[in-house]
Amino acid sequence: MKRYSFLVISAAAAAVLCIAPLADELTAVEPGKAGTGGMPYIVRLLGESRSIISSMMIAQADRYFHGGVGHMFPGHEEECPICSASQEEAHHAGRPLSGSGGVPGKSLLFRAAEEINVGEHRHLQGDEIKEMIPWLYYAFKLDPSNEQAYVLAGYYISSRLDRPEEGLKLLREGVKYNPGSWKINAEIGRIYLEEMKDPDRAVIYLSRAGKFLFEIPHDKFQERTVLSMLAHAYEEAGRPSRAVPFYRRLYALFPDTELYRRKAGNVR
Amino acid sequence: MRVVSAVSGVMVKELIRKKDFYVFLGLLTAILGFLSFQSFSGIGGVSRYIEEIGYTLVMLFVFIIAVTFSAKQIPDEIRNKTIYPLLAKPVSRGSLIFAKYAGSVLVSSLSFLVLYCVYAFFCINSGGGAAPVLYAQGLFLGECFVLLSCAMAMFFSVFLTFSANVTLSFLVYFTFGFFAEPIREAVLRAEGAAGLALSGLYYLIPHFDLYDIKVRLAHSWPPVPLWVLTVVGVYTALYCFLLLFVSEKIFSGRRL
Amino acid sequence: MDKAVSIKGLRYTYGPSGGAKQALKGIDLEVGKGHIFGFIGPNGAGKTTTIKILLGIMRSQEGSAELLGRPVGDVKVRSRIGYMPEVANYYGFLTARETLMMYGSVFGIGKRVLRERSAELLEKTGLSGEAERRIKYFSKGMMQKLSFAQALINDPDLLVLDEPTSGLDPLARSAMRKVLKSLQSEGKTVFFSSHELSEVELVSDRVGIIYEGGILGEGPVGELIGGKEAGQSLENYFLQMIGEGT
Repeated sequence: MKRYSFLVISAAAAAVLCIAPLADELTAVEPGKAGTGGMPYIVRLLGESRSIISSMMIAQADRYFHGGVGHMFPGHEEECPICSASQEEAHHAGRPLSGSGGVPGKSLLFRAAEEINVGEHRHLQGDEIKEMIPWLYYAFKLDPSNEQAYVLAGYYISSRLDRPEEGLKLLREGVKYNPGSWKINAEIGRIYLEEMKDPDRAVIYLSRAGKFLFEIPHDKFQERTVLSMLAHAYEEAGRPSRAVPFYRRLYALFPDTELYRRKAGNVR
Repeated sequence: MRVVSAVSGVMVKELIRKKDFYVFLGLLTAILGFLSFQSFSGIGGVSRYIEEIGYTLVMLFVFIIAVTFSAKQIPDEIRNKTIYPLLAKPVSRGSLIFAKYAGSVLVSSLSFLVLYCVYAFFCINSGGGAAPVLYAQGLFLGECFVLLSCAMAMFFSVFLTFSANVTLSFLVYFTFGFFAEPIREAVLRAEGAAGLALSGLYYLIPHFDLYDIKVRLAHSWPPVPLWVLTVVGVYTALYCFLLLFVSEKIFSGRRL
Repeated sequence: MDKAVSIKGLRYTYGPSGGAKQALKGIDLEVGKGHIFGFIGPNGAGKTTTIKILLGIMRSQEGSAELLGRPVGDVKVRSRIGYMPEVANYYGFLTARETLMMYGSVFGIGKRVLRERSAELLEKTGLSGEAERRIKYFSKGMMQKLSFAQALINDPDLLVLDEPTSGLDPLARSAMRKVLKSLQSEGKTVFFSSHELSEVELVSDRVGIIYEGGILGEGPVGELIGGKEAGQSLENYFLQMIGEGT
């Protein structure tokens, strides 16, 4: 029996993992298609480990967003999810660095090791954002049920890289694999509202997002995300009266917010 | 010197005539080539992930070559009995160890140079590419990495079998590859006798994290300060000398 | 007479103290320069152990040995010694010529001289047609010839051969005997071990018989054989000595 070296086997495995995505592209496997099981070849090859690898890809994207440096201080990853892009400056402003990047070493060797490792804090800006896209792309390709990957990719491509059409295209693909996802529908709605300036379409998707959201347990912050955009979409579409019930609901959830009180018509 | 030249010449011929290096070269080229032609939802021109993945692959492949070449030299010579005609020549055991080490370093350095050039080509071709000084620093640190990897594997080879040697070498490499920061923080926080023991262990284990500048290379951070390169170079030289010195002592007293 | 090989009280024990095997029990031996000395004994008698100690590959626990007037630990004296191991193993990915060039370069011989000498030795050992062939494809006999060639690469003053005729056909053995005789005529010394007593009888001036780690007898071939019954062979003499030794 011929003995195959580890190197040959590794090369074969690498070739298969590269060929599988190509095969998926060429055969364009659709979910639910009869006879295929509806799953891409790469997904079938990896099994359940794809979810873990997909999550690791998102962590990589986050690391790339921070210039290749991982989250360094406790709780940072909870307070600075890259999906909350609009809040990132507030989260990072004034935060001191901790971790090995800022701690003085005991010896020359320690200090040299700390110098080699980059410890500064920065975000990708402008066109640099595209550098994190491959990790988000592989995250949702490996695990099509990973909604967060689609949402993040959709946001960054459409809003930060100024390619809303491309963002919408991949989000629609996400909807195919996750038809009941409120997050993906909400993101599509947001893009139509803020980037494409198409409030009518935005209303359709945001309404769908709201419907899916209310079918599952959720918190008031998630409700606010959807309802505030939906209300705004109605206003932009020239139907402000349709926005009022949503503002009332928001006011009930966040009674301290002046904007909601005003828009709800001062209804208590 | 003539022993070093004779032995290392044989090892270079071995590298050229055996398949291992070509498999790595082919794998690296195929993977980086594949990644270079990818576009993501219509977005092309991304380079950093190619640079980071490519650098990781280069260092991993070079480590495999360095360790497997170094680890098998002495055990294979003894097992195949090719060591007897060598030691019957005007070759002391110490010079044999040094010659084998020099040969492993030469072979691994050549491999590293070729793989690094392929990596640099793909980086520049993908629209990225760091500053030339960073590439030069990567070359220097990579060479230090080769020196230390070969010395470590050579040291293990005088008292471990090939498979035990390779396993232990990879354990050390991946420990510092993945856990360098937590280990440093644990050492800094530990106190008393535990702190002393932990510090001792910290300085005993080879620091492969000192040679990893992929974040700087891929994400356009500034180059490493010169004093750091000096410290790393001196550390590498001292550590390799220590490992080879102890290897020579062990091997000289060993019954063949 | 100058001594090429001088051994005094050599002792060597294999293994831990509980299950140790005493391979050499304090042997004394001398080989003069310009002689062909046959070192004979049954399997496990201590021939290869003695040779390895002489070449510094192993270290004796007691006793001393000298080669060409220098202690066996002296690395420099090995530049005047050629060694042919019992089991001929070399680097399979090298060709025959490359193998000779590699071992020759260890002695610091210049490339041009080395090329000429390699070609000459390959011719002498009948391997000139296989010079560019990788030795992993060599037969046992071809490996033995190559092994003999590499032992001669540095034009040594002392040749130490361990079972040199093992695996060789009668033609090759005859060729080797001629080479050994011609080396002797050049003033070189040959110290070789063998099971082939007929070969030893044909080529040696002196023989030493080792049995169970001790020297049973040593001297000129003619004297040893003539000392018992006239006309008997070395093999008969050897078997008688073994019988007397037990």
